[in-house]
Amino acid sequence: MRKRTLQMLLILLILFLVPQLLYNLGFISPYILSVLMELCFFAVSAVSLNLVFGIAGQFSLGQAAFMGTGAYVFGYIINRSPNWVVFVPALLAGGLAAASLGYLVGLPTLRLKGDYLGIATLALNQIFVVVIQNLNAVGGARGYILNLGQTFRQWWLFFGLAVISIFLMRNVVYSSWGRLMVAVREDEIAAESVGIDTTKAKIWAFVIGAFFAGIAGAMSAVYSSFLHPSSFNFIQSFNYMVMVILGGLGSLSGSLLGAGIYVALLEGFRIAKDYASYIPILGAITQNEYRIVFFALALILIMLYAPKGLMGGREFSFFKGKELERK
Amino acid sequence: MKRLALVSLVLLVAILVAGCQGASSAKTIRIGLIAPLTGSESLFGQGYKRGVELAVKDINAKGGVLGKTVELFVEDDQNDPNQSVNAVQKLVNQNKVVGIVGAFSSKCSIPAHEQACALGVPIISPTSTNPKVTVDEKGNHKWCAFRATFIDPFQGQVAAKFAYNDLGIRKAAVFWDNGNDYSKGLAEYFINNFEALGGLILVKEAYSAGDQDFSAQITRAMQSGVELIYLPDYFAKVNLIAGQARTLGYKGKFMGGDGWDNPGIDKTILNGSYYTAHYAPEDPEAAELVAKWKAEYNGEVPTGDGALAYDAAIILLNAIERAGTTDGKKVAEAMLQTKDLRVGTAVVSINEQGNAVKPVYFLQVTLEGPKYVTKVSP
Amino acid sequence: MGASPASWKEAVVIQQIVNALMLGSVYALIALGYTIVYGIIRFINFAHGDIFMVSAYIVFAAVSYWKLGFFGALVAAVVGAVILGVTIEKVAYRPLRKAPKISLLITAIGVSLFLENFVALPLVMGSMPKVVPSFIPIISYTVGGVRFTSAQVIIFGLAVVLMALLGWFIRNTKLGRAMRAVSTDYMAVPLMGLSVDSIISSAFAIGSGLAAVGGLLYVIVYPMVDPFMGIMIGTKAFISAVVGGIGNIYGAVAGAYLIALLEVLVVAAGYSTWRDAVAFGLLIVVLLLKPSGLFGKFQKEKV
Repeated sequence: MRKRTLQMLLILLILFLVPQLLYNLGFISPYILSVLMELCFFAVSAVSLNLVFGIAGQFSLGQAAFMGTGAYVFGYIINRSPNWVVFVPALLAGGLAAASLGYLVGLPTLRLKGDYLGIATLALNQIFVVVIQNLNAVGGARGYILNLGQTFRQWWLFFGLAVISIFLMRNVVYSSWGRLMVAVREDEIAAESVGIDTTKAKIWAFVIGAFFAGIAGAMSAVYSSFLHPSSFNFIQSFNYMVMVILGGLGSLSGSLLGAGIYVALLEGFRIAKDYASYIPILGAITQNEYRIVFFALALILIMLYAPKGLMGGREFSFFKGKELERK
Repeated sequence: MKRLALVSLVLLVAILVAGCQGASSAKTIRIGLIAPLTGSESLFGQGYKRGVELAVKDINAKGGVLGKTVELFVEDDQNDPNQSVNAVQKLVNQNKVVGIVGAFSSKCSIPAHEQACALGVPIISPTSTNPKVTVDEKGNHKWCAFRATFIDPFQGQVAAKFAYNDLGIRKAAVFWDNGNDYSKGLAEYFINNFEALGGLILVKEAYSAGDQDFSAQITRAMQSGVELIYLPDYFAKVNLIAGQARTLGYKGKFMGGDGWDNPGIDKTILNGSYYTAHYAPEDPEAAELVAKWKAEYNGEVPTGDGALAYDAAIILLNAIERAGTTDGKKVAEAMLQTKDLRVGTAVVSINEQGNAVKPVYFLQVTLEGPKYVTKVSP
Repeated sequence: MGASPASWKEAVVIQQIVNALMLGSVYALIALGYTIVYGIIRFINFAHGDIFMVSAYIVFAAVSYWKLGFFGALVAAVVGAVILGVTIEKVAYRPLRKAPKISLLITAIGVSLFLENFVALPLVMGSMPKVVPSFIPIISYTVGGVRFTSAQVIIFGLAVVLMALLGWFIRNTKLGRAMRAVSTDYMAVPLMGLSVDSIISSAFAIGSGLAAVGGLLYVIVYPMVDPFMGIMIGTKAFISAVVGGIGNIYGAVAGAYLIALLEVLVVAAGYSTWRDAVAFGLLIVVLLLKPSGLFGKFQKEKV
């Protein structure tokens, strides 16, 4: 146990310090650090979606709506007075608002199963977008400008928030709640017959997932200091689903990997094309216009190569809890 | 553990390779362009890219800027605000650009300009017409943010006056894309100004970007007897709506904004309709640009977006030349003092809010192509 | 922006219903593709809307480059779409037959992104929308104050004929029965000496062919094609399929006309901003009241 904790702390320290030091020493540019910040909120969102879908087995395609709720509530509060005192309450308010939405949405829809639940949550996602488009208090379709400047746009903050959020979600998975959720995923009827309140387990998974999606949304609000309804439509929900499946359904640490690959494919292309532009034929087909074509091909190839995601259902060893070895 | 070590190693190497900052060469002046080159707005990104590439070519043919060759770096943002931020970060920190042209839509330009200001690099958007792109919440100019065109309120006002006074319209309908900040903004300013003049907007209808069928809205407009339908959206949607209106038997007029300014506009259906634009190809002032563009791009006439992107790049490069340095603050100051500069489409100055002061052009759709009607100076 | 009483004249309502019938026919043809494939392999083919897009481009090419008429364009679009649909199934979906369904969904998203952005490449078709020249004469008729065009009649007629044909096909042919067999019990089919692969291929072929007809009819009324046109139409068609009860072909058709009618009426009543919200809201209500859709069979879970 102690060895594992030490190992984990060490890894976290390395993950935090390496980019920071490389940046301070001038080896990597602030751009890379900025992309790593983006990776942080992608990862929180992907892990929270994995908690709902991978662990509790509830197919949700409404992730972006929960992120959007967190982002808009956080933004609305912090925009009153953008300072550190307001930051944490605003962040929690964003998370709680998203969690409440998760509860309200979950209560009726979690009776649905499989694809039908996915479709219902997708529909709710689009309704959320239409509501925001018509909500003039937060800019409606013209978008909502946050006057945050660069105060909160710090690597340590994004990293810290991501670590805390993911650590808490990991603990949920390895707690007795987590076991209930897994039981519901594996066989709802069997779980019910041994006396598990399956509805409660599902709703809790949904609420906790939505809470952290809201936190991820608030982080995204800090990232660009601007919110627009189109950033939270169902297409975005698919993007988070892509990260989860790339990493492996049910593997929380796999979602980190999935988010990493997602960002690496999209942002890596920018850098790769600069190098490729010096090579005759390669330069011609790595123009900006080809970016998404390559992304899509990579996505298809990864899925064909690793149909269950890169990690399957497994976890990185440092990420596992000692209590529970899941299959 | 082995897997973890491997992943970390790959990650580290990737970060290092990626992080190797492009050698900041003193031999060239580097500028960047951010445009949607993939995704549903990529047609506009294409126009941007052509415009800025042509401007850079022109300037280099004249000896470059500060005696150095201008080098252009282009990044795609997929018309997504977060990706615009990434693109600014990449251009400034990896490619060491000293000025940026972009982004396309206001929802991308607002965060992109914010980020560029924080990084100390001036940025100019060719066609983002939301006032908030260049000013903060108090209406003060953000020091680094500029645009190469007029803003929506001016366009909406001029269009409303033209409809009321010149066309004699009293009853109108306005349809707009509720998910598109440009379309919604222009619709609002048109409605406010038209109603202030004493006109009636009898039907106000919003739709969403994916809608393909407008017969219900059109039927409503026809029932209320409007004489004009104002369509502030991009040409593709305008073609659809107008086509359906004519099929349903609508006999009145159409009018629109700069989104119509594209060879793709349906000349048969919209024949005779007026629209406001950033420039007019037939305006003698733009003749030189049109000729250059035709020579460069197989005889095509520049689109509004392309022409404005050309202007934006010229304004930026001219400011660097006048500043005598590539220092961000000094270039921005020089840009703010731009006075009577000859760009591709007109002679422009930059006002205290970072906007180019230039006329709104009225064009008429005809079977032979857009016909230049008049221009209204501010 | 509420409805003025004058706009609710009888003729106006009928006019809106005529409009809805046309929109619904296009939705229905695409919805059928979703529902046939889902019925057989329980998989939402998200690239289906893009097959519709590609077929609309084939119609465009057939009419403006190859100067073909209505039937030439129809054949070209159907053949092209069928080849595309079957190829996608073979290359991208078949290797994942035994993988979790969600992996298939992600692959489908990849295929969808690929098709959209590939068509949009400057060297392929470019992202500029293309105007499709009109290739059938359009005559307007007015009956009792209601206007409709020959194009609308063709669309509605062709859609209805095709749907009837499909219904007959599923019920009365060997292949149709085999498809129903696969949808009832996937595992038992090989035991009966039927090839699952060829049945699934034919499902993709039929779905793609119908989407191609949808694409053709679509460009008759909305004569413009662009690489991203399939997204929203595909989504609406998909909702139609689910509302009707995904897997059920009659349900898909009913769902399509219902969604189209509702959308048109919401706009007619002056609440166009909420059009999408209403479509999606209806979807949720239907799912909550009857999770398997209006005409779906509810399959009780076996313990």
